[in-house]
Amino acid sequence: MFNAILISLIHGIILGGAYGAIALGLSMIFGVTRIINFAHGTMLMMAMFGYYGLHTLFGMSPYLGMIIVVPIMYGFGYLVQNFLLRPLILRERTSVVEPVSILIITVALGIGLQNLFMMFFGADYRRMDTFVSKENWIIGDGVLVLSVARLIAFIGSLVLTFLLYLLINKTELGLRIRSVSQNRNAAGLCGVDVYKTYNISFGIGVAVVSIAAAFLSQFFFVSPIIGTVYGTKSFLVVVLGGLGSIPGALLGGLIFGIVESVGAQFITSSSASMLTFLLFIIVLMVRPKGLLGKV
Amino acid sequence: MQHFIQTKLKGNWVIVIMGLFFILYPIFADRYTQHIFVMIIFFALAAQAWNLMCGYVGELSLGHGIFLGIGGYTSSLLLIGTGLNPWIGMIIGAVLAMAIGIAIGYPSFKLRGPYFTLTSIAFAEILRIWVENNETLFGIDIKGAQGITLPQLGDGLLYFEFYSKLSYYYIALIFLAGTMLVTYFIRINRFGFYLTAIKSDPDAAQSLGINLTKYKLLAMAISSFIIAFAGTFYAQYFRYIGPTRIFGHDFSVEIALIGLVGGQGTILGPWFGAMILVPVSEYLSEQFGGSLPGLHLFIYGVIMTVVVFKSPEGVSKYIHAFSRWIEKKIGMLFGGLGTNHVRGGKAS
Amino acid sequence: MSNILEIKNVTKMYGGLRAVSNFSTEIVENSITGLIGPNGAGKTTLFNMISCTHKATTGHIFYNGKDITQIRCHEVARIGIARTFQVTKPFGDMDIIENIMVGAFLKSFDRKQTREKAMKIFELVGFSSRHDQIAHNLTTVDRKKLEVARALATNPDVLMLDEVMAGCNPQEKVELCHVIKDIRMTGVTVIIIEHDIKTIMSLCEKVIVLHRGEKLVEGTPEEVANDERAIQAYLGEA
Repeated sequence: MFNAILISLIHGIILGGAYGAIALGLSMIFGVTRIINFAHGTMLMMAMFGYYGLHTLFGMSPYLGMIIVVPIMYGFGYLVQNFLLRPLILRERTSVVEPVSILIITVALGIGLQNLFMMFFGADYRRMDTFVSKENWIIGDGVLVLSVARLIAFIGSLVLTFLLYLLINKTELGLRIRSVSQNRNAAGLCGVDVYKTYNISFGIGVAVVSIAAAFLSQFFFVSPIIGTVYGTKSFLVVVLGGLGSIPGALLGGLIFGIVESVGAQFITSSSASMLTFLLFIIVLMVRPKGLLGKV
Repeated sequence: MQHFIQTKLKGNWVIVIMGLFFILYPIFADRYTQHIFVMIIFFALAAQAWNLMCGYVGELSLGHGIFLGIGGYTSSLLLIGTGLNPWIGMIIGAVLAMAIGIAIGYPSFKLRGPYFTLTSIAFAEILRIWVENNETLFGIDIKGAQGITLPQLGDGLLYFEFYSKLSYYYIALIFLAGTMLVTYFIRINRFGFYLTAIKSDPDAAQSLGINLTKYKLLAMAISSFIIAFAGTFYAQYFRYIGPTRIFGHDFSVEIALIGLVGGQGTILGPWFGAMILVPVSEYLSEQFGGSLPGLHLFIYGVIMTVVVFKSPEGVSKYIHAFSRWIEKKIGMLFGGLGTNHVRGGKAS
Repeated sequence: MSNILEIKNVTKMYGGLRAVSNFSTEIVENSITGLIGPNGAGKTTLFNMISCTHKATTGHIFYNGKDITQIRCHEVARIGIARTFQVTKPFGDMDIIENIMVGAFLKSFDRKQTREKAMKIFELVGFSSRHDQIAHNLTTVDRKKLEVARALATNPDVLMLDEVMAGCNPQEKVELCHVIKDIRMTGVTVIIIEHDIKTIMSLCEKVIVLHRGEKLVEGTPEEVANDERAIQAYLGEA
């Protein structure tokens, strides 16, 4: 019994890493622009379709496909922030009411894009068979069976979190981003182009989630509906870890993965999802900032 | 009541005529058209209840399907399991929905930020997954993703089951009228003022002695209670209720969209929104549902975007303005016949 | 005359920044007290702490003998303390009367009665716009007056006015002074933050000068006007 829990713990940690990677972009975007991107899951889905397309048409592995997909998604995020969100932010600066518009726009974006893909690709689940996706790493003759794809995703998440952390804290761009997130007006007065920084941050956030998509696509199916599923999970992870905190997103993801995985040993896995929601509510009540949150 | 008639109807004859149309036309329509009308009123009802929460208070719920589902499932399960009359089951479902609404509202309303919206999305999604994957819940057979099919018990008011779509239609109409009345009375009294104040400026509202959380929860309670009624209606009308549709993200967003397009914080807004969007969506699903699944939702996304950019207050004010414009034209035509626009209040 | 408000050793820290430092004073019932000082001195922060928008980091505030330092924000109005905001916060989509009604609904529940009461306050305060003008279209001066009217509608015992004269021409200032005196006649205690020294001096029985979060001087208008430190920090030569 204990063995089973330990094994599920390991699986949970590995899965949690992936969750963390997915949530990273969302947390970062919120940290800088104070916008919750409700289309986050949809953008994950779009990137996954990108990798799927590249793999199916050219046999390109998603790891390689990142070279193409990530910059495109970065550009997409940049444009979304610039043309959809910025006008609304500007508009709301003058009026007292209506921060709701920004929420609604990202929801509309998510719904619109998700169903655009639905229209052309249908709801079918698609799987990618890459050279990695079926491989397993077997430890101690069958005691622990780790999917290589998931393992790579886990390691990739750690690296990604670390790199993002470096970017934000050790580079000049990161300095600009941090200054804008802490005090938009003061940063502007210091010569930082606030809205361009917003654009860049949004772009980075989307780029990060498309990297996560590359990992995810190796072991999860591709379909327009996964946007909602993973989007929702990301929200929970991000609140748990702390909105705006990059290490928080990873930590939140790990906890999430562990609760889901270990929980599934005792109750059905869908009930384990209920557990994560309960955890989310408890966090909201007890420490709404989240574990590592700053705001 | 007299005051109500005066203020609601005075100077808005176009809307009165629209109302009469809605009351009378379905009698002469074919079954398919009647179905469309039922769906319009159903969505108007759902959006009206949603509006109480979001249009007035300003907390955007994107998971109101939760309460539809709780209402519908409760009355249906009670009907199947214990034979309880669905009308009574409806009340029980509404009470349950109200309790859950308060439970998820409480932690999120205390906080500033999009937490409530997140919670509503998350809870709907998790409820959906939970119900889809479990055949029984606490020992009750809920049939998981299959959904529940209601037995045919009879035809008549007692059973909340009719052969004629028209009967369903008028019940929905009564529900909608009742909800509009409730909204109206809230709006003109203290509670409504407080809700609008909370949405406008929470800090100022607090400084005037308004307990934000308390009033948000109250609005939530009423909103979830009413929409649960719609849930039972849904189950009784379709004779079926399933988790994928009712707890699904799409459904909740449709309801929100209708409320937004119609006009947040208005009484007639949800009705206008439903009048415009529901026929569009039904038509698109009909024509393209097979070849282009999700087309109507894509269109919804586009419409939502347009509304946010062009007219965040919704179409309600345009319809009112259009209505007044028509009256002026008619008035000019007939030499000032009976359209007296003496109304104090908002600048036109 | 008893002290309606007692502020004891109150400090407010925002992170490392000390916005208000060890401030103490007593406010006599039914008096008009002025709070002056350069921008950033901590005047609004003091108001925020009394109205519990932001809680004091250390220290206590007593209202009629009761410790209110930690009470919940919305209870402040209920116990009789009302305030206006320096940056006006009208309920934009409602008209003037409806705005005032929101305040009045604290004490009365009946719609008609509340509307009457709001109309009375509307007349008392005196606006340049019509009573049914939508709030987000109001002039700055009318917005400030709306703040006062709305706060007044809650039937407060203590009314805290935060720079309500800003933007008024001399005539309007005189009118507002009259209004404030009228309000005091009804038994209300008034605390007023202002930059207009003349107004403060003519209106208040007691003046407190705040500088960098600390109480510099406290006394009658004459005492303060002649105080070296006050002159140096804020007043300049008369």
